[in-house]
Amino acid sequence: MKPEVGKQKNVQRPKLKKMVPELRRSINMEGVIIDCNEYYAEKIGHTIDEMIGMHVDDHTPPEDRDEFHSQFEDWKKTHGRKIIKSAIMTNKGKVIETITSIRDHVNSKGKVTGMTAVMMDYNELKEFQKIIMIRKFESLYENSPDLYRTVNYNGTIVDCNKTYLKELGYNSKEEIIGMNLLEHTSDKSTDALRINMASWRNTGKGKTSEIWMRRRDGTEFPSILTPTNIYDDEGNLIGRNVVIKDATKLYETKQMLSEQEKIDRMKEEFLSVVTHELKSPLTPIIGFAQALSRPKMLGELNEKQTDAVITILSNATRLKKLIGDMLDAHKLELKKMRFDLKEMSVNDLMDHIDKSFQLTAQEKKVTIHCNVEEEIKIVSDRDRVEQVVTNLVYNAIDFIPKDTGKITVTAKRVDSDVMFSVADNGIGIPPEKQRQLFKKFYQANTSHDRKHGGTGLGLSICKGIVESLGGKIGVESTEGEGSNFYFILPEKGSGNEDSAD
Amino acid sequence: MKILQIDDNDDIRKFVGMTVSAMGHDYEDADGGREGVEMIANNQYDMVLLDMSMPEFSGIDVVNDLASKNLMGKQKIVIFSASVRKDDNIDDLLEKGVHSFLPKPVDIDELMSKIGEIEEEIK
Repeated sequence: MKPEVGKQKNVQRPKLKKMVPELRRSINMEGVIIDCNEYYAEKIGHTIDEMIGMHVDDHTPPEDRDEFHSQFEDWKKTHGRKIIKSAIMTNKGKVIETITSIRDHVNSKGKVTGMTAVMMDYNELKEFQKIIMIRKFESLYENSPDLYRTVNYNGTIVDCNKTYLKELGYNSKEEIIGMNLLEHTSDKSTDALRINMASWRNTGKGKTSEIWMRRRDGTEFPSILTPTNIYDDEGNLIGRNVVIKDATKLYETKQMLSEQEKIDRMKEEFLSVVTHELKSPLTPIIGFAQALSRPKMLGELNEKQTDAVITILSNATRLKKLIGDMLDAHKLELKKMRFDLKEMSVNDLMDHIDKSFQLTAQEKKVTIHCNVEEEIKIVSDRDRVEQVVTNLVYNAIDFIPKDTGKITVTAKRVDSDVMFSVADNGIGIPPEKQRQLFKKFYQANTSHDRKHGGTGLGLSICKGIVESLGGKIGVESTEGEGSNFYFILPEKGSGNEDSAD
Repeated sequence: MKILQIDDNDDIRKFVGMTVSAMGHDYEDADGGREGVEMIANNQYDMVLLDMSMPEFSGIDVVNDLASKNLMGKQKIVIFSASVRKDDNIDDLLEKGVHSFLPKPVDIDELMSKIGEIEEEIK
């Protein structure tokens, strides 16, 4: 059936003509056919000459006529283009469903003299779309940058694309078709692919999997296989199309990540071993220095010897604190510090801190006082709260003047929270340096660091602990007048309970 | 009081030995876990200071071995180690009959007060 172009001016594109030829018909205002193309005449079963003068109702299925008339009347009112679904009827009474585009029929003087319908046979259109689909897929399959291969139910390769050939080192499909897919699989992935295929045959569901492919020359590369099923017309599973993505880049990234994890683990282990090893010799150092400083234990020393021993002791104690700080900072960074939340009395804690600082206060000739005016109980980690307050007090001691130096530690309720503050009358901190203070290894005045020793970790540890307990830390300070370090803890603290090292 | 220390660090043993003697108690030591268990089996100590991380036979091994030989109750065992932290399996050790923990590095006062505490308890 080779339809020809009718008397219509519009010429159809030759390639599409074969696929879905247009059916064209024009009627006047009374519904009488004034023109049509050859294909339309042929579909109905007449010649063009026979067609002209016939009424459109003759080619419209009786049950559709009312509908057609009402659409025709609508068109008369509005004119213009419109797409409708309609049907035509052959002279043998066969009904053909069509997709119809209607438009104005205009004579040589530009006057609308009727309506032209351009129709496509619905079944022909469907057929056409199907072929297009297959073509589209074929094009995708052949030209994809990914590897495509098609295997039958048994895993024999029945087709593949150009990329597959090229990537695996073959020249033509003839060299590949008929091979088993395992011949293109690395030994280390054979089992995985066998299991994948077996599960696919059992369940009918293909799973995406990571498989190492093997090229013709024996080299291998990691890939990700994504299968889709192929069924025959009866719906039987007959094979699968597999998209194979080269995962070399992905694999390398993964390797790098796991390498990084390994390094991180080693670092962590190293730190824990180092701190442990550093702690061990400290016990006899501190222990013997203390023993020497007590005449009752190892005999009387002269003044110079005592001074030497005290110096050893204070440095060893500093070292002990440094190691402790390093461990704490490390744990906080890894979020591995554990918090033991219990109900605690803030009053008891403050009493305890007050007592523990009196000797230091005497030695340094400064005043240290802890003061709570109300009864306060919170749920938090007592040891860690003590650590923060103690740290802040030690910090303040370094910056207050001898004799007139004064540190006041207070705690009070603020709404449902509790605010601790450690206020001093020291040198104060310039505003631009206040925010930096809580950063690791930061010291406001680095030129002072002999006098104001310490690790530079103290405040960052305080911040880490306070925040882990669900609170906030801050500082207010005026240069020359003093500083007030404060932190606010919730009545019921938080803490990461899930960690251990 | 008779005190045994099990620790592989010679200097730490020397320091503890000195402190214990200065306090007027008897001191014996073992530089390994196996030797320590043997000494506990053949002697009666009031207190044992036990290190955790020792090569070959660790403090955990000592506790497990003593527990299996029903020797835990004979004396107060204090874990004296740098590797015991708040979050180690303390519960497990306590359940097996360990008395308490003394983390390294230790202050002479902390050590003396721990010994004093045990002394009070067994009086």
